[in-house]
Amino acid sequence: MSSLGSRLPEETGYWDELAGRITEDADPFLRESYARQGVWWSSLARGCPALVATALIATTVVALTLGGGVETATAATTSPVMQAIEPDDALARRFLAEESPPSVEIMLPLMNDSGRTQ
Amino acid sequence: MTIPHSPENGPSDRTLVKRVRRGQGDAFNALVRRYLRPALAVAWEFTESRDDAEDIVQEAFSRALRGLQEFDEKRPFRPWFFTIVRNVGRNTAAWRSRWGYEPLSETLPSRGGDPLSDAERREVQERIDAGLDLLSPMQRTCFRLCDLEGFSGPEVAEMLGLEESTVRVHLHRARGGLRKALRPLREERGSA
Repeated sequence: MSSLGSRLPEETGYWDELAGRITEDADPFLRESYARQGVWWSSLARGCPALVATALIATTVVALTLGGGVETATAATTSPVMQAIEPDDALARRFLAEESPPSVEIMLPLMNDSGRTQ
Repeated sequence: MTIPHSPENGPSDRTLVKRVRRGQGDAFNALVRRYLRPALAVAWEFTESRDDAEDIVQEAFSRALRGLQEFDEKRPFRPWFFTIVRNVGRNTAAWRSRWGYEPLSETLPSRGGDPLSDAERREVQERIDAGLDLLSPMQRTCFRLCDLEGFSGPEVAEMLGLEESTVRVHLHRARGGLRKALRPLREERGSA
């Protein structure tokens, strides 16, 4: 191979300068690209909107399903507890049914001679 | 011949492309340095002036950078990029020819040494140029890139978007044509 007719410069400085010129020209665009990467999923959103929409719907469905499950589970655990502590005493049931504290008059007729409730 | 600024070591093109898409300037700089020299060699085939070739390369890198946002990462970067360089080169050449733009003639750079060897070199260069003018554009391009600039056949095939076998055929015919063109010079020297 002959280097006689080569037109390409050999000086490192020449290539450094040309590369610098090209990267400098590209700098604003690269900064803009970098800024667009602020939200990690933005590239996904840009690349495949259908995928992102499906993911959002799926997330919502899962959240709703889990939320309902928790509520049901709470109800299932509290129900026997409520049953266990529910009094079989009529007076006590009346107390619990009232929204305000019971008056003394209500309690009196229900007491027997020994002072116990019926 | 080593190719300065064309390091094949380091991250793969695919890795660099991913990073450039995220806006990482150092990755773009690495891509530029990897492809700058072959890109300039290809661009220069479309114009007579080095300044114009540099402009073609700069424009090609700029278009590639913007195109990377939509580029399919599974595809190889190299042939895609050289297609851009050739397209920009063709457009520039068409524009120049349409508007009758004539680049400033460039003097052959001196490689130092005594005036006699410079004159001798200039004579050989003129013969080579005359021989190159007799070749078809593609033969000339293959000869320049392979034999004068030192790129390998496979590299030139990728740079020009040709099959390797096609490059070999063009190169073979170009060498034959130049041998004929340089024969008188050889005979003059042999008889001297």
